[in-house]
Amino acid sequence: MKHLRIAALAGISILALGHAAFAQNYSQAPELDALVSSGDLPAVADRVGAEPRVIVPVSEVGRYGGTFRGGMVGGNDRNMLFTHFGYEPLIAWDADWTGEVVPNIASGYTASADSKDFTFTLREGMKWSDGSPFTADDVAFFIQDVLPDEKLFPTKPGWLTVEGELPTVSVASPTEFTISWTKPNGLFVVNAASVYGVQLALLNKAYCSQFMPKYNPDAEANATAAGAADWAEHMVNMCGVGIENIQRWRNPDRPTLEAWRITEPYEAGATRVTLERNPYYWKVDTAGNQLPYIDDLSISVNAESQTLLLSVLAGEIDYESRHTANPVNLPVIAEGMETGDYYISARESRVGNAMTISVNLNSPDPVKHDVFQNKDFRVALSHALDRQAIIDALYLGQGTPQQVSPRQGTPYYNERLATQFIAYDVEEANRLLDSIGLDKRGGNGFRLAPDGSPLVVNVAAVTALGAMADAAELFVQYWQAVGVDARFAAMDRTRFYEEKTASQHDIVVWGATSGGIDVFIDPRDYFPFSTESNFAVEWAKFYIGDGGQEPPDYVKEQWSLYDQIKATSDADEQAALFQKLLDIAADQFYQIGVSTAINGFAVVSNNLGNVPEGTPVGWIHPDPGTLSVEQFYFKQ
Amino acid sequence: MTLEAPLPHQDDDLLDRQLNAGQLQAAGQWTMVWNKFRKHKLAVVSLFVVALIYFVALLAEFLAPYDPGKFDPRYTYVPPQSIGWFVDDGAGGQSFQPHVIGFDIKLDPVSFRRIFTPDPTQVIPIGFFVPGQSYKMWGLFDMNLHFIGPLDPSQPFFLAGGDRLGRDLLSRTIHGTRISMSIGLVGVGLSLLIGMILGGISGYRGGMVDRVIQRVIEFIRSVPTIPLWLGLAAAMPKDWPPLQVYFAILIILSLIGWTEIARVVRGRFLSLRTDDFVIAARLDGVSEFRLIMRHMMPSLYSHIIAAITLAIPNMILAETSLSFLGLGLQPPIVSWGVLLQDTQNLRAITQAPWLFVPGACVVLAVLALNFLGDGVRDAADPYAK
Amino acid sequence: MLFFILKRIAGMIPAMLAISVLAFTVIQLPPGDYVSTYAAQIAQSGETVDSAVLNNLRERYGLGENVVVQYFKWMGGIVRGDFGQSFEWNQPVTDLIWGRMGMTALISVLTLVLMWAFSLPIGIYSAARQYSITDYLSTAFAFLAMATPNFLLAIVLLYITTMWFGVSVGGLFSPQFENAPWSLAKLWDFITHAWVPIFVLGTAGTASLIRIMRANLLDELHKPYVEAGRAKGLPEARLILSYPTRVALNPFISTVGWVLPALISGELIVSTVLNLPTAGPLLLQALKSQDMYLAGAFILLSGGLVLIGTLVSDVLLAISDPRIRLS
Repeated sequence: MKHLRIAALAGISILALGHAAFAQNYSQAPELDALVSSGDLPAVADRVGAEPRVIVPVSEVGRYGGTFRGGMVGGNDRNMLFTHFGYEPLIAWDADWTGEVVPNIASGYTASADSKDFTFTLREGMKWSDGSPFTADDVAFFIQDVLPDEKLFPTKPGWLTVEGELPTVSVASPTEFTISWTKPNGLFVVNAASVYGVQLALLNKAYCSQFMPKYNPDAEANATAAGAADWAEHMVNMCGVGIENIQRWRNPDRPTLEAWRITEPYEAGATRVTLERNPYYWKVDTAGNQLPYIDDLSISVNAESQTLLLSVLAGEIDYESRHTANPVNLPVIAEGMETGDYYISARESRVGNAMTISVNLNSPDPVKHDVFQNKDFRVALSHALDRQAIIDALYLGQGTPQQVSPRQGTPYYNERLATQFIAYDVEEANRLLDSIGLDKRGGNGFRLAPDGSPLVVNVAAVTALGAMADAAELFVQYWQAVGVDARFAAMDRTRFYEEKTASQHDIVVWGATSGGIDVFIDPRDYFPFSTESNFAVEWAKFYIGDGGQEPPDYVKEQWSLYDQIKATSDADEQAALFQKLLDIAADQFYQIGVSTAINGFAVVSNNLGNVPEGTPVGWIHPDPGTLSVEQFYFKQ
Repeated sequence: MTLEAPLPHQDDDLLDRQLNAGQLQAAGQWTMVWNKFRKHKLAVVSLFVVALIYFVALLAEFLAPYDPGKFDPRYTYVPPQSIGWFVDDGAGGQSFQPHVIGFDIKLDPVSFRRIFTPDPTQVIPIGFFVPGQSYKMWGLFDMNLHFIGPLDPSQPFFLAGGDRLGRDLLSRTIHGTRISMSIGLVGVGLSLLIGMILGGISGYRGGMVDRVIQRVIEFIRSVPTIPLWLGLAAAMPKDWPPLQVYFAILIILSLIGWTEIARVVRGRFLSLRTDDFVIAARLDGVSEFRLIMRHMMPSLYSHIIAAITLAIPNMILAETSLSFLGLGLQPPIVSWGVLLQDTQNLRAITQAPWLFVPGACVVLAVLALNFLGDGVRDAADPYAK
Repeated sequence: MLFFILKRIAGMIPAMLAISVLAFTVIQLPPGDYVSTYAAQIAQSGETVDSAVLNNLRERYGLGENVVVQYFKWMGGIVRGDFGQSFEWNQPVTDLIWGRMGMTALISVLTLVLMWAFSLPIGIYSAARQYSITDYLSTAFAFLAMATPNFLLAIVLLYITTMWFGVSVGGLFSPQFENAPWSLAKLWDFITHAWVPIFVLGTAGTASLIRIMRANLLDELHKPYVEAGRAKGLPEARLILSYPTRVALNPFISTVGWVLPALISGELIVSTVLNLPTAGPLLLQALKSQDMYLAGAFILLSGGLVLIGTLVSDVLLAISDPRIRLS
């Protein structure tokens, strides 16, 4: 993983390639020709600026035109728009997620040796979708005026704070600025290239500042006139402000740097959301054509994923990887390829396991607490599972048996953590259970707790997430076979969350999260990190300063290792520290895993060109946002 | 139209005595009912179907080849097998041997789906009253005898196909019958009791009592049932065992269901109470309770029977719809509604239509109950032509 | 009669209040609140959220407050026409509820009218010609329709119309008409889409209405006055239609007040499957995500619809059967 070093190593900068060669002969979408000749729009060379980002098309230079058809599901699926069309950070990850960082809005950056100062260079003449210039002031506006504001950002994004300290910004010129902290922020670049980084260049100062009393004395009055509670609410409604706010997709007047701008807003009750080409988009292809190729986007709002799936089968969707692309639907989708005129494009999942089985180490029940904390109990449960049979039933044999661990092939892979206790060994499971005081059986044939009381173990999973609930039903049968009175508890998602957040659960089945470069950003599966660390929520609460219980020393040691990772930018050192952290996780055997992650897929219309194959996906490396959607095109 | 009308002046006690002594033709009425019922052929057939369904519900553990949770990862979405009766005896002749045909299983690398090709060389002998998985009959005795099953328990046997985990759909449907049918029966019994009493009082008394009961009914009826369910389902304590959840859901269903019966009863009472025979009975000093139960109710039997026959299937359908939405019964409980959750996926329609088998059971049960009720309704009034 | 109606309207006010209390209780019953649901939801797609952010949201939405205080704040707003804020959509509930409720009312009333139009004549005919071929056919249809769960019918029809007839998936309009103003073309587009939900919603109800009408009329037809009329030589059609039918309409009408809520509840499921722009999908989603003010407003309004339905049925009942005393 040498490329990681490039991204994070101090003092190294990346710079954009030259593109002056194209400066004189850019071309544009035919639909813009009339606007330019009538004088409503400046010439294309003026719009793309002096140094547009040159995108190398995935397979060929495309042609202009067409309407992209996509689909959203359920209430507030705003992040469908974000993951598809809203990934425009200053610096971006490459489509292969090797860890390498490429220029995007910024043409380059340098990091100081101590990881405290990060200097970005912007593109000359780059413009917002309304034609106003994009400069360092826009980023500075966010860091100086918006981020510190208590109303707009009552809680600060974790990656932008170092021990509670917010960054400062200094603007050297319209195309150069520096973001600084007084302490090292070793994970800043990794975060800035992820979806979170989009936040830095989201707001147009000229437009958004009009809603702030600091810049406009009438702001409060305007907000009241518009029916908002205060200026901040009004500003959020008009400007979006946060990357994940639904209001980001509401106001057609808000200037944006994205390839398409909203026309029919995403509001409650909307059945369709539409977007149109941003005529000032600052990317061109290798032939000098201004991107995007596709004219418009038309996104349907579905109540339920099966209607979207039906749209896919009927060929009414051009690209879908978010809601219907799971193994359950694969056979149906595969069968419908011909009639629907689409193909299945592989996507690589980079999470640490197909699912996690978390035994609650912080159970409030004193009897269960002692049983669950006994590592041999968890080892016995692990040996009791016939992983290959489960993989065959749930995933048709895709995947190999593995515990929860970073993926093989990354510098974070820990063999002991990944492969211990995966053998299907009923005898060993029974022996272990007998050895820890669970040798007495009750009238129903199940094991009694050491104090002679019945030991009922509830295994909770969310019904809406089919595979997890199915898996839990199977686990229960395997555990019953070794005499553990396990019972499957199907739950709706909210109750599931309520229970596990309050540590009321016994065992929960849930998805694994990070397994690649993202382990630093969200290491919840490897130590008590957040309330998402289902095996020890109380210890995690203690870590984030939200009450909880004080954990044993080995957990504290993991925390201190993680703090050291955050304080350095040396990728090798970070990886070495993380291995130490994983060794402790392996000793403790916090969570039981089943199988390596199951790969996903995208359904792509045969008419859609320039869609790459086999790219990795994840929330912080979204699909298809990282695939340069602007260079997708329609062949017909 | 019934006994009361021609005998309004008879002493009630005398009537009772005569009835008890069998001097009047009370027993004869039921004979007449049966004679009339028999004429409705569909109703008679339905009676047997309903009896059969409840019989299946009663003996679910014995009739099902497997436990509903038993899964086999090799047989996900396996299509149904059919029973053959004769096999080649190797000498050119045929010998009697009930069997099913096994499968040649291939994994389709493109769609990651198992392709099952029936392989006539794999003859899986089956038998009746065969030992198989052990179970506790009615939760009381340990047994391992199954009505039907493969002679070698390790061989595949899926008469109604398999589901996404390779569980036998026939076994699951049979076990689901018990839950779904009993929900209908007990639920309606409960709503009938509440509905007749409150509806009768409301319609007979009128005035203030009527208004109060009407407001209560209106109130209950105007709460959309689905949100109420969602709320109550979520509020149920998590440590309740499945059986308790089942009864709680049953009670919730009947608490809403009684209003329909009450409303019908009241509507009839409102117009009946000014009928001559009722006024006559009242002037005669018949007690109110008696007047309602003995004089007015009988003239409502046909309506009540019609209402019940519509209500039982409604209960079954309600359970089905709610489980379908994921708000009703939850796995590992198996009901028809829970099974039908699987049909939400387009895969069921396109590639595994046998998953609709529980749906066919719902249709069959509801149809049979309706025809049965129809026949009973027509026969309940044996004096009519 | 006017007095009777006014009195019934006055009587609806306490019922409406009671519904509002129940609606509020129901949306408060599930453990947790919108914020915990929100956290659960975004965690599903691997997205993360700070617990500090959650506490902050809770404070902003006033979710930590006493339940009684929350209720009175809510009701106070409704009296002024403000149904509160939808947490999930960050929009006032008022902005989005009327359009969706309007669509629901439109579909429900259309279905109701069609149900009546079919069930009344078939029911009468079926009773008058008991055990005829037509009676058996209509009975068979009625029972089959009643026996088929709505959602199964909806799924299968949706699949068939899309894959076989090429109608765009679900909804009430094709994409090009979705955000367009009303026109003749749009109306036609609406009809080509709307028949599926109306058919699915209407079948079961039509079937039970046929059954009820048939049962009621059969009861009446066996009464002596009908015999007397027949003996006097009244034409059969007039004999049946003039008196027994009117009497049989009585219990029939008293169920009409509930056909509407049943339609609305059924609509909830069907519209989710068919992806209709009605209240159903939004309500179900709001209930699932505990977007309480949005869910509350939908429940309250559907309660209101039911009350209006009951009022209409009571008035009709009084008109059709003069024996029911207006007092």
